[in-house]
Amino acid sequence: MFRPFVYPAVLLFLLALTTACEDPSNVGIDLVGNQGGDPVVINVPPAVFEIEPISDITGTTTQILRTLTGRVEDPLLGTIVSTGNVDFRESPGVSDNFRNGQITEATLQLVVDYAYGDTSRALTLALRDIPDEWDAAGSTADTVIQAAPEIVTEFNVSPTDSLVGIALPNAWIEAHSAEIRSENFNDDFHGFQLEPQEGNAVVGFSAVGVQLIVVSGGVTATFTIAKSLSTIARTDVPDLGPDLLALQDGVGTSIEVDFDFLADSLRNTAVNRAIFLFPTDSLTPAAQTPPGFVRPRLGELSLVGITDAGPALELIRSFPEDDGTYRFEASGLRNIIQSMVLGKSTFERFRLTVPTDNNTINAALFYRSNSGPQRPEAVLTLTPADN
Amino acid sequence: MNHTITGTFFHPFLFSTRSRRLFRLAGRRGLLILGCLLFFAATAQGQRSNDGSIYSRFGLGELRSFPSSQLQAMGGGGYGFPSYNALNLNNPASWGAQILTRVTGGMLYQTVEATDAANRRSRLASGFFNGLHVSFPLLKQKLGLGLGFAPYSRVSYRVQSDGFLNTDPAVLDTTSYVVSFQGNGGLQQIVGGLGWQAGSHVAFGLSGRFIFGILEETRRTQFLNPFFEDAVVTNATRLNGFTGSFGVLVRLPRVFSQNDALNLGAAFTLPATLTGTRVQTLGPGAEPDTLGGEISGKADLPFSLGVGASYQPNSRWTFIGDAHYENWSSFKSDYSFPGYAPDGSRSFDDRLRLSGGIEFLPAGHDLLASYLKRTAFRLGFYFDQSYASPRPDVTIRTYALTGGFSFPTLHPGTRIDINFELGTRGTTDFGLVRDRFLRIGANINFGELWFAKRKLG
Repeated sequence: MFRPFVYPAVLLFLLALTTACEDPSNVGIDLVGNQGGDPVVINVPPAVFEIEPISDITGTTTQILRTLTGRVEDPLLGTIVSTGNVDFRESPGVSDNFRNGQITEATLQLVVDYAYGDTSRALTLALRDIPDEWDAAGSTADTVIQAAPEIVTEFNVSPTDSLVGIALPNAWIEAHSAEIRSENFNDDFHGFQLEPQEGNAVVGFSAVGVQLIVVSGGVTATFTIAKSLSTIARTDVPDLGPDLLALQDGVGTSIEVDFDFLADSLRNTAVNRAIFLFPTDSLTPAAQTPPGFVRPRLGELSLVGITDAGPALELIRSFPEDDGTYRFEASGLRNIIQSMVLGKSTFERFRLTVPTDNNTINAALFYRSNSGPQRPEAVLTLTPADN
Repeated sequence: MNHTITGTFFHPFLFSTRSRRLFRLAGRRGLLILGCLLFFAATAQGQRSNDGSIYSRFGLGELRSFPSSQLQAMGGGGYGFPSYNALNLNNPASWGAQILTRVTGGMLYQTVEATDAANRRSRLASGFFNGLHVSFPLLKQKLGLGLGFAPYSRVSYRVQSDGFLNTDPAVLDTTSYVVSFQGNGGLQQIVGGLGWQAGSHVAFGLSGRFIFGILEETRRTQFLNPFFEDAVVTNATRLNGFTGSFGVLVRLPRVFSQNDALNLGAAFTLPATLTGTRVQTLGPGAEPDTLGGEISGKADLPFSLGVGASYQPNSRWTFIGDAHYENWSSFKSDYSFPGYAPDGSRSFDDRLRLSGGIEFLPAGHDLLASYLKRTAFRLGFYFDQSYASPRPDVTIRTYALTGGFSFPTLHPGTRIDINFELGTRGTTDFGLVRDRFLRIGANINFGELWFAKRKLG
């Protein structure tokens, strides 16, 4: 049978085979000329690296945070006073014997899980009633909680203790017997305030360890923590000089960070990689730490993006590296820097802040000088768009 | 008026119903086979659209043309060739003598091997659309209409350089990277016009050309370390504009013998102003950022003139020779192009293209001859002095041999043309590279008698 398409098809196939095999290389690259494309690494110091007062959220009702209380005079960071406020809720299944019985014993149980300051001395705390309803959810460290003027009891806590039991006096038991045994305990009872009296430390009580244990009619009932708020105030802040910046949890400080990403040297460049480096000074704190004095180092930090119009948005978290440097890097951060370089970002600047996951007064000293070997900077790998 | 048809492959009066039926059966199968082979070849090679010559980077790209599959195999000229078997896009004056409605289209594959002075080589292959022509007579052998879609220029290159980013390892990982420069796109043209056979010896033609397209340069910095994001910078210049051509064709029969004919032709294309926009984008990503907004501008294309002659001593042999000139030294543009600067520091040179070719059809008019005798054999050459160069002191020249086979089908008016082109471009001197290229074209030239009134009784 005559097949007129066989000849051209076979010929075409044989010819096509000769065009196979690709081997691209840099032959001819000289004809392109100086067209750029090579990446460069640029270290950009922040235009702004300053303390930014932001009240820390220290009160919660859902995931209860650690309760801080105490007073410490830190030779490096000043005097910090913290007052703890706790309220309780009735546990399910309280028996009629408890409600109808007579309270014979009431104990406030605390579990110490944090200490800052002089751990060689005991801390004296005063326990007061809080007479009125108070709000903890979202409350900040500068909130004022009014306690009753009368001291229920004073007790000592060693910062190295773990479990502390405070027997509440009979007068307090008699005064509160009815409301403790009442079915309206959650509404009628408003908790205690723990106020420092003596000592040179701030201690923290674990949320799960704070309990009010009451024995009535021979039945023991445990009242667990319902809400907690630690108020913190710092005074007498020493001058750290121009090269250091103290970021301390709880005392209402963050660090404002702003880079001039619209500088001519950065404009219209492709950002291949972006790393923020914030080195901290470990030598100065070590030199100004008296014997027996504990100053826990700041842990995880958040890098927050700030818009002029909208709320702040946490971008990334970082723990310090072995040398104390906080290093922030993520593809999302690179994308934000790319947008900033092109003048299209919704973020105006950044903020370094301590997450509110756990109440502490941990601190770190950040280098702030742009001229020193240790300095905050953005390390950008850039490819210029133009030649 | 009685025209002698020379160098043609069919006789319109032998167009029977049976042959049409046979064509439909064989044609569908053949097209399927051809399509499969094209697809297989393209897929097997993993071709990319930007794998061509680095010289296509300069100017508005490598200037391309597809006058017809027949002429492509004969050097690419044909200004003086009165083809009845395909639309000759180079000279609209040849469109008036058409008999059949024709549709011609095809693909082109090319391999480019570039060599530099150090004898380093790179080899790239790509496939692209060759063109599509449609033509039909409005008045048989008197007035014909032609429509065409064909490339005007093509940007297609890919070169790369390797680098190493060496930084403080405590802060940043070191990484290797590759900077690749790629060119894509080109200008296309839609051509439409009329050819008028004014008499036995003279024909005229007019055509309008809409030129449009995007010239795209991409620079991609790719890192081997995944912590680094690639950078893709693309400059895209979108241009469009109108121009027109007119041509004349003079037929001189019985020059040396009773059956021969000498044809002389010329076509002039007017200068054109292309308007456009240029955008620079920064990626990667599906939605790259635009840098600096759109830049509006224009580019003034020069006039061109093509002259040619063809000689047909009988129905078996055809000889053609052509010269084509483009006045690129007058090119002006608001935009800079590689090899051209708007401030006048770099400009283009005039382009000159010389070509010639031979066609041998053993059977001549004999439609009953054997298959091989009805197969046309074509050979040609061309010399092209480019308008754009990487260096102002060096002119890039291309020398190429062309050839092809035109296979008949069961359909008398339809052929399958397989063309090839083997050439060299440039030099390894002056830091340049020499291209050796092989192009393979596959075209289907379909022709059928349409719009004819049936004669009853």
